[in-house]
Amino acid sequence: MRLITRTEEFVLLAVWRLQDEAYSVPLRTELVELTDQKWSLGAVYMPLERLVKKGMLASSLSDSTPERGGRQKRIYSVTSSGKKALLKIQEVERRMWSGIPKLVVD
Amino acid sequence: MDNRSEHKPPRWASWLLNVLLPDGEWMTPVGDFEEYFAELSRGHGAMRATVWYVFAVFGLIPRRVGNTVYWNTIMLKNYLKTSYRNLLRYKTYSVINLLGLSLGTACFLLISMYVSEERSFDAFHEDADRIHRLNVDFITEQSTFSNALSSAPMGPNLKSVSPGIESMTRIRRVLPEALLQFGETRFYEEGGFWADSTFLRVFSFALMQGDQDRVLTAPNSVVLTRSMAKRYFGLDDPVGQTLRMNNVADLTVTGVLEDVPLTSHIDFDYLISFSTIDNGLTSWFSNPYYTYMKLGPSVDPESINAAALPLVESYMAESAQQAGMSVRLWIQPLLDIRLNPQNNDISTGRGSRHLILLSGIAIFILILACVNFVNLATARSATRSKEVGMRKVIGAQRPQLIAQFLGESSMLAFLACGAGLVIAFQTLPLFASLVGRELTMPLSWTLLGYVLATGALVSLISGLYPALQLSRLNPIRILKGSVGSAGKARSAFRSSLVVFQFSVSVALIVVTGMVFLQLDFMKTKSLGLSTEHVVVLPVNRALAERTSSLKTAISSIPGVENISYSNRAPGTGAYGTITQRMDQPDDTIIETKYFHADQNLLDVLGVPLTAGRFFESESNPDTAARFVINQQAVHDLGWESAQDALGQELEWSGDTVGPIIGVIEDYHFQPMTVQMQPVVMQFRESGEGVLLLRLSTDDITALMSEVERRWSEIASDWPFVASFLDQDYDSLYQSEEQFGAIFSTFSILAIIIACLGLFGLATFAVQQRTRELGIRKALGATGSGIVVLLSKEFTVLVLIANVVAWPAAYFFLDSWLNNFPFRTSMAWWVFALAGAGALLIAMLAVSSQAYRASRTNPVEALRFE
Repeated sequence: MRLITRTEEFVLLAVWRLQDEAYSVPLRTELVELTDQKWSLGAVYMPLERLVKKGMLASSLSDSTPERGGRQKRIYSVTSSGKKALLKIQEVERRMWSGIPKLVVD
Repeated sequence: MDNRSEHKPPRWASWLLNVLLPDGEWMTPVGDFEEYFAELSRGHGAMRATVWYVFAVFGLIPRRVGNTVYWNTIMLKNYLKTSYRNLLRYKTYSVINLLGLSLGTACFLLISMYVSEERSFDAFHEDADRIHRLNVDFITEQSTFSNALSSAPMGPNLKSVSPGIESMTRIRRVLPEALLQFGETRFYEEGGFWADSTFLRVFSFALMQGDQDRVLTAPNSVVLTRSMAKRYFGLDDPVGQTLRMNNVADLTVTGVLEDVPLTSHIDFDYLISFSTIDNGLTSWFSNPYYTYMKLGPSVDPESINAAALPLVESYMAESAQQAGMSVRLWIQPLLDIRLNPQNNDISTGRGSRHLILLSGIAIFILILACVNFVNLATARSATRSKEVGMRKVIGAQRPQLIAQFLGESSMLAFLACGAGLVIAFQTLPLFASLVGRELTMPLSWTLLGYVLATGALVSLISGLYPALQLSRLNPIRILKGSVGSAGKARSAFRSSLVVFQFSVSVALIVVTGMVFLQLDFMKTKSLGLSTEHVVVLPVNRALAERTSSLKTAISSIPGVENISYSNRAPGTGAYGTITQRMDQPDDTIIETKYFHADQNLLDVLGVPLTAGRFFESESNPDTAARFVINQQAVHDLGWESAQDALGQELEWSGDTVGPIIGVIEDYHFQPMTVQMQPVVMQFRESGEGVLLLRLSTDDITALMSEVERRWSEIASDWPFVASFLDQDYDSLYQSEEQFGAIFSTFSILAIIIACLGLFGLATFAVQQRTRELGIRKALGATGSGIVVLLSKEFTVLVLIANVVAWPAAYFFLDSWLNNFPFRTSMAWWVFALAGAGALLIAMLAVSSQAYRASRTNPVEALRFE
């Protein structure tokens, strides 16, 4: 299985963190806060789409809520293959970090 | 910041967002956008949020457009591929469709261009909409005679009383045709006019050389067209040169005009200044002039008509009343003249009725070709239905399918249009001779417009029904195979279209047949005179004095049986005047035609005498007024019989009184398109007019050269011109011949197209029934039995078409024949023959296929599929 990209990894993790609240707008906020980077809405949509296509995310429509003018949200959830991918990349990182000289910034 | 004033994104932007997002997908992103908008406006203010929202929405556009184009291109490629494959796979049908449609469009394009050119006649003049022509109506209780000709004083008087007229000009045809000479070059020139000096102020014919305001001012000035100038002067400068006219006058060339455009209703080769002949013609009733005027901007033409009323009142009303009529002057717009020519019109156009008839034919032919497409497409819908089913299952919507099939038909239509354009260019000269007018078809935007419009029209007419039909099919039923090859309803629809095609064809054939019958009738019906071996030699005014010596010289030639002088050649009509009986002067004023002739006329023309005697020879000259009249005149003047009229006195033309010495049989001195009219003849031995020669039947060529030799001994200064009377008579029916030629051409086209379609349908039917026919043969059906079986169906259709076509043709012909005072009766056999002919051709088209089917080995047939 090919490794997922870092962006995909972040988005997957963000979806996992937010659980039931994982839809575009809060996902973006979460990502901005955690990564200290600028994320546009579009920058969240694209990896979401890609991950759905890869089968690592599933999506469903929520009940309509009044605060969005009655419009539905598309809630994402991590599928088992998504979870495997996350675990795999964690494992790879762990391996990459293990048994090397301690990294110190001069 | 309080909750109440929470901002909303601009309404139009959210609407745009809705539009841009793919169906079913839009709910969530719109919600997301709105939520983020709210978040932004809380953090950074409404302004910033709005800017973001708008940019985000616009940012969607390129991708959305790209997406649409991408998918449509893919589908288009697929459609093109399917269409292309279908075209190639069913070559017979494609050829039939293409051939029919290109013939149809060629014919449609030609006629459209012709009609549009006819409708744009004279539009090249500056302010063409302000130019009008003066017409004169002579109104009696029974009828109104609208004359395009007017009299000399009308124009100038009208101009002086109506300030709305900016400029006015009169022209008058040079009649009889003048002999023009420069050095050794001399020709009789037909296209001459006397013209007012203001001619070029009213009309904008382009002057190449000369001063517009002065070329037609001085007496004896002549303005030539470019090609006429070239005829006489070649490459030399014509201006200042002298042309000798009729051996008496010298005309100075003052200017050269561009050749008259084909779309001008006035066609001339040269113009001579009016001052040359200003002979003080002041009669309000002598009408040799065409009067044109240009009105000021926004002058109401009605005001000119109104201004003419008092003129008529003071100059014409009284005399007109005595003749039992009233007169009305009115002006006709220049742009209307070609479409609505008046009596004696200078325009040779056939008028709008002719154009409507032609357009009708063009549309019918085009529809016939489209019908082929519709029929073949619906017949073949079975083969296409699988494709439709597949597409529907995969997700094609009905509009997409309709677009696909319309696109396919328009592909074919535009292909056919291209071919049609080529055919049109190739057949342009043929068509021009059909409509009797020079035609140009320059490549222009108009033409391109017509081609595109025709293509669009054809694709719509021929593609719409099959497209609707095919796209309606239910995919489940198609794929289960339960849609038959042809539903009953659709087959009935096809049948009625075939009936329609053949009705049109048969009707056209019947009309053609009857037109030629009528033509033949007019040409072969006894004219009341014998035109064979009669030669006509025109004698102009300058030769009048030499007529007698010409007569003597020519009559001495052996082989010239007889020679006579008359003031008009038979067939060309006659001058008219009024005649009345002396015993009942008030009740019997009638309009009569008159001839002057010498004693030999009856013998030369072979017209029988009914009563009394004809004019006699020199020994007993009828120099005092004596009249010979025809039977029609006897009747119109109110006598019971020719005997009663003999010896009675007539007053002719209001001044000449004399007795009737003889009555002759009626003969057609005018084309048979005109009623027989009363004739009064008077004796005159010589003068302006014609010499009529009756030749004995041997070697005409040698005889004619001898006649020419004698002519040149006496009249060497005038070229020898001669014609044969029978040919002259034949040429009187050009317009009817043209009419016949148009109908025969188009009926042939119609039947070709209809048969193409029938051939296609037959091919299809045979293909469909291959197995059935195989089984029939295996069970013992004969080849001929199979031919009959297959032809029967189509035969019935053609028979029905006859029943539809005959009454339609009958009513059209009935009203057409009514235009002719001398007409042939409706011949039932023309109808029968047209029907039989159509049937025969249809049978040929069908039976070739049926024959092929009957020849195939049943084993082959049963192995089919």
